[in-house]
Amino acid sequence: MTALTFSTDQRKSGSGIGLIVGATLLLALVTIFSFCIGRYPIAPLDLLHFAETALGVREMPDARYRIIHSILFDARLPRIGAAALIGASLSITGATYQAVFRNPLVSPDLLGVLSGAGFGAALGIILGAGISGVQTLSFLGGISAVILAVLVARSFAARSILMLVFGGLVSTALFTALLSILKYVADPERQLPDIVFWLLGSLTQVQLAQLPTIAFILGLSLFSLAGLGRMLDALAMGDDEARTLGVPVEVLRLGAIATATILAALTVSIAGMIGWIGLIIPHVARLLTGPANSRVLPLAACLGAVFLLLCDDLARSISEEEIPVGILVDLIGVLAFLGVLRFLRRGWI
Amino acid sequence: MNSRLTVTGLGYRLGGRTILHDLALNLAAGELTALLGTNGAGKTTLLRLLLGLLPAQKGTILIEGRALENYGRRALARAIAYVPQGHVPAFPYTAEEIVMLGRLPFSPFGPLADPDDREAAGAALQKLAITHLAQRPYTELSGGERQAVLIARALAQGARILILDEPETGLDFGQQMRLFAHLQQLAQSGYAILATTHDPLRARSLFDRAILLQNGRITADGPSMDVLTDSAIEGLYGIDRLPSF
Repeated sequence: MTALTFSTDQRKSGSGIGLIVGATLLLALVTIFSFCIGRYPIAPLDLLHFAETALGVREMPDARYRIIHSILFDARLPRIGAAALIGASLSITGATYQAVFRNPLVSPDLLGVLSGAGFGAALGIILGAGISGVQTLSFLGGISAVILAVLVARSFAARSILMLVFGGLVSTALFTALLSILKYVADPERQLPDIVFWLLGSLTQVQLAQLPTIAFILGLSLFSLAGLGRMLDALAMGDDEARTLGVPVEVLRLGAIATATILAALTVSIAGMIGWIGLIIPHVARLLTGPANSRVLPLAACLGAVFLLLCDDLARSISEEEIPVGILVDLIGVLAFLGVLRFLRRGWI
Repeated sequence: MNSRLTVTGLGYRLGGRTILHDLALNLAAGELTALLGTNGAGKTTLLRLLLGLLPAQKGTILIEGRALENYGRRALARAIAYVPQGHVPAFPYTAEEIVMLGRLPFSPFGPLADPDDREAAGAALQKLAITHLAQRPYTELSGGERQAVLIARALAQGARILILDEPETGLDFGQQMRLFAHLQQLAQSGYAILATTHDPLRARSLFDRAILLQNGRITADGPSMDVLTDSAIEGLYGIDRLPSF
């Protein structure tokens, strides 16, 4: 009997790892595909030729080599790196928030991180702070909004989830109002369009030098959150039950919220408001591998990266004028969400 | 008698109102004990105190001979386990994943890789005869099956004291009888079990011992046959006269 349990269980956790390996391979393929497409398409064979030349195995005219090099590394690498990292980050944030709030319909902006980041960015644009100034203020805005939400919840002494949601409502409303004030006073010729464009969400402002930092923080967050996966699972049972299972509920919840919030604020500050990914991708991951967070988090990270890469490929290629990727993510996300809803298993809502 | 849990002088006040007055009780290995009382008598507060979910304000709680406040959270979870009413979580974890949560006090981080943990979870499923449910989503199980999964999780915790909150709620007669058969068997194998219940007539026949809690005081404690007389039940619940059965 016991042996039977073991073998079925091993098959199951094996399939979890298999899915994550599969998703990683898919991510690699989509990444290569993304390097090929764009305003100047590069055929996969040319890409191979280029790689062989770079390795010194084959030869290619020097001018052509330099053009391809410039397209790949100066134009596309920052975009592709950013799309993958941001897609992964938002998915991890969403999955973490959903676990902490025991609600599969929670998205990363529940505690106001997007509103706060939007306000910070608008403030930076009005102050003329430059790209890095806007990004810094946006990051600080996002973090401040979540800290405010947690403080509001704490000021009512109750440590319940409901109070946190209430704190998030207050914080979101406040920062949305502040953003409206900034839009109202912004110079309608120069500043307002910049604010609106930033809020649409776009990967055009990303600099290559930022990517290693984001990759490092993403990796660290993913490793620690997935490592805490079974404790996050216990939170789904309710606070008291989790405590009787030896889980330090308050510390875990605040730690997970802090990690996820830093990740979200970081990505939103460089790419603007890209929504929906954090809501849908964790669902898809759960449909594939079940709700255990130690499997959901890495799988969602891969799938989120794939999803945003594909959306950005579309944004870069369907028209002469580039479409802000945030709009595409929302449009495709809505369709994907309707698709996912059909597969929701009983007991999810 | 081998006492697993001893309570002396336990008091609890909330907002100027005394919820529990100077309680004394002990739970012995091998005993299935029912805790009875009207709603608001303080049953839930007592359970929460025993589980360390509320800090005791007065008195002492000894668990396996050691004061509750000297336990770390994980050590406490290895000594005393809580079996809540079978609720439905928002995510469809498998029954086995739920039982594996019982190993969190032993290995809280990373994947559950230790063979000891897997063996304990497997043994717990087997003891409750629910190995066949292991891969089923917990959210799709019947009330009786969910209750069995939660008891298996408590066993996986390695705790020898089990605290159950109205375990028979929502179960049909067959499920209730299977549940009590399991509880009696566990008690006989050395567990100390305390369960709240709203059914004194059943408690009289199925439990070894009964504790009556009335307005925050223990008014009777002893063998269930002796404690749960018709007149005691009438007094506890404020019934003029029990209908004849």
